Amino acid sequence: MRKLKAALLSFAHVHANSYARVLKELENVDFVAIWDDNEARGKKAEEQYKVRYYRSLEDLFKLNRDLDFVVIASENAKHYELVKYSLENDVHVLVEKPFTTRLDHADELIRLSRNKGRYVGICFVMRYHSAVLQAKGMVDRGEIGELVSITTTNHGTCPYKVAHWFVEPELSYGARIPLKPGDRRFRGGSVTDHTVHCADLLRWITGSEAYEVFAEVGENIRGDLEVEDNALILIKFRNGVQASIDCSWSRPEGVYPTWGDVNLYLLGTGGVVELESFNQQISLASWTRGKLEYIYWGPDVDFVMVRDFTEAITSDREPRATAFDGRQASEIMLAAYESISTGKPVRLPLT
Amino acid sequence: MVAHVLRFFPEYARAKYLVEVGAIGEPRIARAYRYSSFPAWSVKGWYGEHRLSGGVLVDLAIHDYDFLRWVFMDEVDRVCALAPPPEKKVIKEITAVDHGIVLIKFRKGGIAYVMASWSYPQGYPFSTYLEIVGTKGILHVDNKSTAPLGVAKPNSYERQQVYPEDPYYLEILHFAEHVVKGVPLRVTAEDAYKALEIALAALKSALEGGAPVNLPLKEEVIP
Repeated sequence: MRKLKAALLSFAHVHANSYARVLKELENVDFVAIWDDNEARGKKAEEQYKVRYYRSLEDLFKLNRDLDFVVIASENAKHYELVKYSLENDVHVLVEKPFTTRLDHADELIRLSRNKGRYVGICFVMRYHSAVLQAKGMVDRGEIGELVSITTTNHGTCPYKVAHWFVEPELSYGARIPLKPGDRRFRGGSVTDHTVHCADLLRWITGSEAYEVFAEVGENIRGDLEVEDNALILIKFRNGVQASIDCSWSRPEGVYPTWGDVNLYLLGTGGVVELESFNQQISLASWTRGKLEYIYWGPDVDFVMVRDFTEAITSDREPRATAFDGRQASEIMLAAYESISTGKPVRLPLT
Repeated sequence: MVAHVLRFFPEYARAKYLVEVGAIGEPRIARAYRYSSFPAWSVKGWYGEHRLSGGVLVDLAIHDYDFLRWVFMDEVDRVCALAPPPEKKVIKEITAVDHGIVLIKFRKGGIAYVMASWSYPQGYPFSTYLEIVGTKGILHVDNKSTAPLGVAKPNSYERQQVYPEDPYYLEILHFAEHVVKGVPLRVTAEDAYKALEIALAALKSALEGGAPVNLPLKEEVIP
């Protein structure tokens, strides 16, 4: 079997090291190149993974003509340029969420991907979690009747102490857009980071699209941020399902025993499914580590996701989460911002 | 005194105390769930009658509205709620709203999410969950995972929360102490009014398909 040649573009995102590990682990992948616009970070990765680092993206593609795919784990604002450049160089692309923060960018990339005959996959890792798959299977088989209402949360710590760009509007959102009139904060915080996983799961499980979104943001938990760190979102789907997302960075980093959660509580006419995806953990307390920690032992979703992407390439099919899925989740995120700004429910599709 | 008994439940009273002493800083965002199967034991099923109970957004979630208002020490500015329309209801036979999700915005910038339901399958235990996040930390009150007693019988298993003193007893005792000794009421008439106002705003919002409703309310909601 021919191995697929892969490159990882940017270690800016906190998930990059996990993707690098997976690229090394996968037997059908040859991890040949790393690019990063932060040279120190790139060189460190080169040493850690024993994979050649390129300072110039142009050189990376020029010197690796037989590259099959790239994984992009850059700052959100750089997704558009990096995906575009990669597609123009005829490789398949697996890109971190959110896909883009502008719908015209997403549409352009979807067109480019079609014209080039190259797949774009989105890192909606939750679609690869075994408990999520089991829940979706139960819903699909009608085991809880017809879906009625879904409460979801994607809580987290704020990643800014590990990767500060998460709270810099230019890098996390690609622009400085005031959150709402009279508010000193800008778009680009927890709504950008944490709406899309739940939004994607809601679309995937309901098999429907959002048509109205309402959102509230509170005063920040962390007073020193330029972006929002909490929000609550209500969504009405076309098929009548009502849903909510809590996308808040509401877990205190450095103190909380785990990073956060992805929980879905699905109410159907014939039953209920309660999904607490990251409950599979061991409680560990030790004098050396200084606090109580939850050590995760659940499914290696990053591994399964990247492997599925390689299988999509070799069997010439769409990945499980497509560029269109990425676009639709971003649209819900953008509608939430619009609602926060206007104080009113927002109808989709956005124009 | 209106019987907002949640204020007498030890875990909720302790959470209020922790917020009051600054354990989590200024409260910013909270979540509260209150859910069970339909209370089939209600006399002639009056819970199921919209005009008698107001449904979950009034009868059930009012505990959490009152508690959140008590914890945030703030008044509500805006409420937005969704509830399944009649044709999507889980319990078709009743007229009351049987499931609802609510966003609450307080005046000083706190926000909260409330989920209330009678739509869980028969046999599902009455369950509650609360988390409050502040500028200095977070607290969780999870009645499922903290219940000290597990009871298993053929084909059934449940965790039971057991209280050192019955919260309903504490509530009546408190009222008696108010009457006899003049101890200040823990729940004033104004508190009860405000909680009801949030409840009616949530119901109004849900009946209007999720339109945000500003407080104070200017009109009656249940005709």
